[in-house]
Amino acid sequence: MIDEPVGVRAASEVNQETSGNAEVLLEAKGLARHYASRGPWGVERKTLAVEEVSLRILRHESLALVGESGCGKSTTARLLIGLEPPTSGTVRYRGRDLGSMSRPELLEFRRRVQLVFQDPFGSLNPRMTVGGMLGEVLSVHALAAGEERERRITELLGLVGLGPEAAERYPHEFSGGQRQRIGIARALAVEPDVIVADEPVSALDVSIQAQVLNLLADLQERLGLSYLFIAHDLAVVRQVADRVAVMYAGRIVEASEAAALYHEPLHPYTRSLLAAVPRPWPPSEKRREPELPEGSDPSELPEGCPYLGRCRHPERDDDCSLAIPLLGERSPGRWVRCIKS
Amino acid sequence: MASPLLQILDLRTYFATDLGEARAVDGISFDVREGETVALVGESGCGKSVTALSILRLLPEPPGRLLAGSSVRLRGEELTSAADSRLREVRGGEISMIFQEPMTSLNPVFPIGQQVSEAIREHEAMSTGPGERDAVAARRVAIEWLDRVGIPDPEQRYGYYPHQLSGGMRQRVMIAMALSTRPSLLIADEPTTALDVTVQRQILELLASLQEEMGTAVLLITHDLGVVAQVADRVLVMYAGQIVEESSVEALFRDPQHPYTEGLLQAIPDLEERRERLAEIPGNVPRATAWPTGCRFRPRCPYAWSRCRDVPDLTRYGPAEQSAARCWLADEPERRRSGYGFGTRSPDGRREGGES
Repeated sequence: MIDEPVGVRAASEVNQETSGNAEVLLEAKGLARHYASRGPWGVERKTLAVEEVSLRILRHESLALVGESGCGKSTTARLLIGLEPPTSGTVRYRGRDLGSMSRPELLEFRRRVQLVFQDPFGSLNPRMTVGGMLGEVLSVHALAAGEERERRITELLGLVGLGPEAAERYPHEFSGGQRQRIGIARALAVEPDVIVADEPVSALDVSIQAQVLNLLADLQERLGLSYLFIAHDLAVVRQVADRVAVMYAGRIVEASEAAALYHEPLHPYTRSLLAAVPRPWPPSEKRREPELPEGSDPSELPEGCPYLGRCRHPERDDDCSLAIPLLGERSPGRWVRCIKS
Repeated sequence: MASPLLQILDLRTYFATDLGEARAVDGISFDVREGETVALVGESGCGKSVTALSILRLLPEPPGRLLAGSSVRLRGEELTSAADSRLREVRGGEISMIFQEPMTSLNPVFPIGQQVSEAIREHEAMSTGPGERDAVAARRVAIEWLDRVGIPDPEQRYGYYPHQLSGGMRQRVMIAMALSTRPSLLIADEPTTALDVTVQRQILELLASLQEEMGTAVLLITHDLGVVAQVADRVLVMYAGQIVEESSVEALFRDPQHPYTEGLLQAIPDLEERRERLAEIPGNVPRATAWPTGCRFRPRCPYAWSRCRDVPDLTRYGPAEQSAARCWLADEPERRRSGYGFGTRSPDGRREGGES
């Protein structure tokens, strides 16, 4: 089973019309990650975390991986940035395979692909001033020294909407939203081209969340960044993503340009997810969709389509339990893993 | 006239902290009527959870304290001065509570069914006087309840331990425990915040159907305006320890009166359409040890003017005075015009009022 990388054709078509060539920064092909664990009586169980994941991140675009807890979206992110080796499949950065990179290449990769976490406090050194932290990053990567370094620190703080005085202060002196800004400044210090953001706003209050989402959009515009967002909040994803890949039980079940996916979801799981989001509208528009059954334990997936146990597709039948469906392209740029959609 | 189910008058809960006295809840009043769903919304630190805990006197005192003059009445009965024995009766009797993370409220070393049946027996013992409640009967009722809240195969699941259940299933068990004693009021503090969106939807629908069946009133504490729109009849918006707006759910979403509510609604990303930019409420939520003077929203408000240095009252308006807003603009609506346009950024990209 070989899948076409998600969005390949869509991306190339779009870019032929606009710039003529799409620069692929990060590319995953057939990624899988399995974990072995011991169940009751010491019986070994293989847990499938990620399977058959192929995707591309182009320059200056935002891709979002969405899904519910345990769907494999964070594991996919860890594989893409080389925090874990895949069980099978490859990750390429600018065409070079992560698994066979030389040490200098790997260092370059680690610099160009940066992470922003959900909980910025947990990732900031409490004993170091913000300026000290940024300065250290700049020194380690030999990007700036002396006065140039101070100038760069002020510039980075300005980029994320903080004043120069923030450099003298410690992480605990900042609010959650400001800490997230500091986390972003640290990621930007090394001039990355891809930012992988794992639930970057889910710990923030609504009013602060909007500030950070707007900031991320501004930075993308100014610095030409690419984003990989890992998120569970579909409204947030709508605001930030150009393309969206929906994951269920370790696999991508639907992928598409964002507007198309939101307006006309193809996979029954995507439809359920969108229908379940409580909308902040006047209650006259309260929706009545069939209730969704509780998610099943991923280690006990049904035969055939992994979503079968929860599926509400009107045409589902015995064919669905024959094999795991392939991710097929229904129309240009629209990929779905369902034989009935 | 019959008194409301729950009546809160001028509730003030303060805490002693290293930074001085934190005025977490600072003079709030509201009613909950029989059978209705009232949502208390606001961002972290606004005092919504402290309000919930103050009702049942579940806060550690000290460092917390309820100020003199605070009143919490359950069908007219004052709870702030009630004896501990009476409060224990009320908790889990007339008023039940569920929390965001059911794992912390369930005992990890006892089977879930046993915990539900214990809640039932405890309550029965209280209402009928001490005595042997038939354990078999309690078990039967507990299994009925597990079934009612949608736990599949309840006879077998009765013997399961909390860690063997998913988050959604644990919250269902909590709901069974909370409602099995047939309370008049359920206080639900962020009951679905830790759950996936499809599970959240199921839990909200479960709560709504049980509520309709049993006529239970619900006080829902949440930060999620989507959840509010879906389930609430009335909404109270809290900011900096005070209620800043009170309204029916329809009116709140159609025509918010307080600039804070307006900002919150415009800051939420839209599922239907990617917005050019989200509206931002500049700055940060203030600290309870140092609320701003005058109108507490003034430092972040796009409409703030000279009059806002004075403290605005919660002014009632509308049919039967069912709505209220704590804002001077109520008198001067012409000042309120698209304050959350995208002009809140200065030219160098920095947000104004962002430092604290």
